[in-house]
Amino acid sequence: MRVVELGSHPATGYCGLLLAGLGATVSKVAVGPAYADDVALPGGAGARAAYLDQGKSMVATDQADALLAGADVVLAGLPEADLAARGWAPEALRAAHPDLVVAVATSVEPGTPGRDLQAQASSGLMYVIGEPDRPPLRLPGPQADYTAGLALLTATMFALVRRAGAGGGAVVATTGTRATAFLDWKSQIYHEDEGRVLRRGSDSGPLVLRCADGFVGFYYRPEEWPAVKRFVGDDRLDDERFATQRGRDTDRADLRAILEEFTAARDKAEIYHAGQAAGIPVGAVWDTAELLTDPQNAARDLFATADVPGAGAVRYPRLPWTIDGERTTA
Amino acid sequence: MTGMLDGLHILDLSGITAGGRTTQIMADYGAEVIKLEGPRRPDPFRHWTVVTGSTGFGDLGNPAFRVVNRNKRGVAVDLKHPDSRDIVRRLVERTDVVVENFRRGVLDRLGLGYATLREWNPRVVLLSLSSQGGTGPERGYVSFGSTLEALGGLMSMTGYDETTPTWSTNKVNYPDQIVSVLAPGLAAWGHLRSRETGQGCWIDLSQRETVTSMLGEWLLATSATGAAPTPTANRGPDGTDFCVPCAGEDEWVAISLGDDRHWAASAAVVGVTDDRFGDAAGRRAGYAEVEKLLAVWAAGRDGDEAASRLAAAGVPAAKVAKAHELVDRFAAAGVDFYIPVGTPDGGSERQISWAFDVTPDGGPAVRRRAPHVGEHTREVLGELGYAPVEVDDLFARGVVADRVVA
Repeated sequence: MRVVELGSHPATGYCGLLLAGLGATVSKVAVGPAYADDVALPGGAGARAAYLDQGKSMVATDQADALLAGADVVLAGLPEADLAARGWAPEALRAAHPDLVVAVATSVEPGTPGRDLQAQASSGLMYVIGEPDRPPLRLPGPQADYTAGLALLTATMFALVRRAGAGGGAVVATTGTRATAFLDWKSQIYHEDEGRVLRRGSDSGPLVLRCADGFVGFYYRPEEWPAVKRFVGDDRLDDERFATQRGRDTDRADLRAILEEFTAARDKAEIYHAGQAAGIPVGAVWDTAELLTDPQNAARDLFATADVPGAGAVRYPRLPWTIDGERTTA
Repeated sequence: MTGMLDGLHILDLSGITAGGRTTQIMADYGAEVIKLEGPRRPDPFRHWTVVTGSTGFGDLGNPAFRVVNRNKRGVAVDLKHPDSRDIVRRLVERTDVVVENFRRGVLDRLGLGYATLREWNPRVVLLSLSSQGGTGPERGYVSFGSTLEALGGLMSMTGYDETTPTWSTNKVNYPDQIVSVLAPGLAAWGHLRSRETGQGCWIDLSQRETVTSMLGEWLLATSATGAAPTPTANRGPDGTDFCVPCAGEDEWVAISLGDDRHWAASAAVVGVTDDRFGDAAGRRAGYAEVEKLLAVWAAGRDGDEAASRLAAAGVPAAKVAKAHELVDRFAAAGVDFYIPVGTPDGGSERQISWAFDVTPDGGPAVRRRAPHVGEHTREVLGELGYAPVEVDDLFARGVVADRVVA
């Protein structure tokens, strides 16, 4: 599969990375501005560019049209007007190359100013993240743009399935806003069903607990409560108030205090492994430095190494799947 | 209307959301999806009342279940009964993609590991959606969506400050959702490859690693500097993003001022003349002051007005929308993002439609509501070549069912 990536948008860049990981030959035409709000590396290179451009060959703009003629997929990561000005408007490309699949993404509605933050805000996702008495929270990195990249991958593959059968190319398009609203679908259907507006807040169910060296996501379902009681081994948890999920949510502050007496005396790794052994789906809050040395990631050979000018040897995650047991790298 | 995946056959052995939504997206585009459940232990998502406590419509009581399983037919087969094997074999023989999200090892214990599936149908693609992949010391660990936000790194960077790591909670279960947008594409890729080579494959998608993959640049930066980023509320990578309250109930506007021209334009709208904030470094250094200036201005208008005033001046700005408001917003933009779907009582509800547009039309449609447990068991067994008398016998012996069995 031959893929041409036009410009630097996180959605098309991430989709290109995934396609490279599926064995596509990805050529990137680096026209237009570099990634906005990139994370600077020592030496000045951008971390996002270094990550997303793995496995892609960089080609000069004047070679683009020749590459487009032989391409299966074009990832159009430039604003609409810029694409049109260069003769790369999606419909024009498809008219010239009827079997081509052209994938287009912007962060927010085309023609509207906005980047990932505005996509997260306008999608509804941001409204439900955070605490009720504090501002809504974004997720880190360009999560809305990357979600658009996931949607583009799926749309592109569906279009290629159709091409393999009925024939013909397609233009597939999404935005960070739309893909992320699609992802936060439950808020809408619960409102539709009961008229309830889901508010942000980690104010019911599982808790995030402080431990000796950080935090642990203390996930449990109502059916795992007996296992939680055995695991923590504190008689105060036998209190009638904690017998139901409703009660545990009502007296959440008291519950948290008891549980944190237990967790604060232990490391997050200990709570994670012992909790899992006790049948509780807890997870340690690992940071990015811990992930780089994490035993599960190491055992699965998650990270690849590359040289970035000015920054030296860096490591980055390979694709999150295996095919017949083999990890693929972009 | 023909869908892009017309003619594709999917066998869905999964439960709850990640797998269910993966196959829903494929079913929306025309794939024929059979949802196989145990008659004694059907998909627990049917009665998932953690968030709303809904109980209407019996085994279709959870409104979220009704979305995730639309366009599918339901069959109930007891996979632990030895005589189920012939049924599953016949199903797999005509299937292009099998989707499962059992705990690691369960599929093999059921005698349905990839080696067996491939023996029955060399072209079949097995798509496994696993918490942490099929190998490694933590492969057997249990998780639900938010557990993987912790383990995948997302929580360590989400929050108001370093003392408040924050997850998306049960309301969103972010890892399940991102996986279910990616996985249909992987399944379609596997199918395309199978068409070309005649050989299927086993795709094992790790949910935890998907979370980490979507933080790739941060891992890469940490590997270069040794420093792990911590939550910085809404400041963003370059420290120039803002989210400030507006007039009204829980109204907010999200503004990005990384670009000096955007600052100049917003300063004109907001009425600020302070030149200390003219470059990004100044805005970063004076973040709290800039935030206050924006908040004072925004307090005089609601989120829509604040966002539209700034956007009209070319400033990246958006209201923090509430999910139910999106129905009208997308309609106003000419996108049928919410579509009517029948409910079991003959009524109708609006469900979210599709994540992308396709030209020429990709033919997505809702053709049927989510199935009751085993609603199509007889119909499907007939298609598999079982004679009516054989079907009756399978029912009588409890190998299959057309409803929940106590």
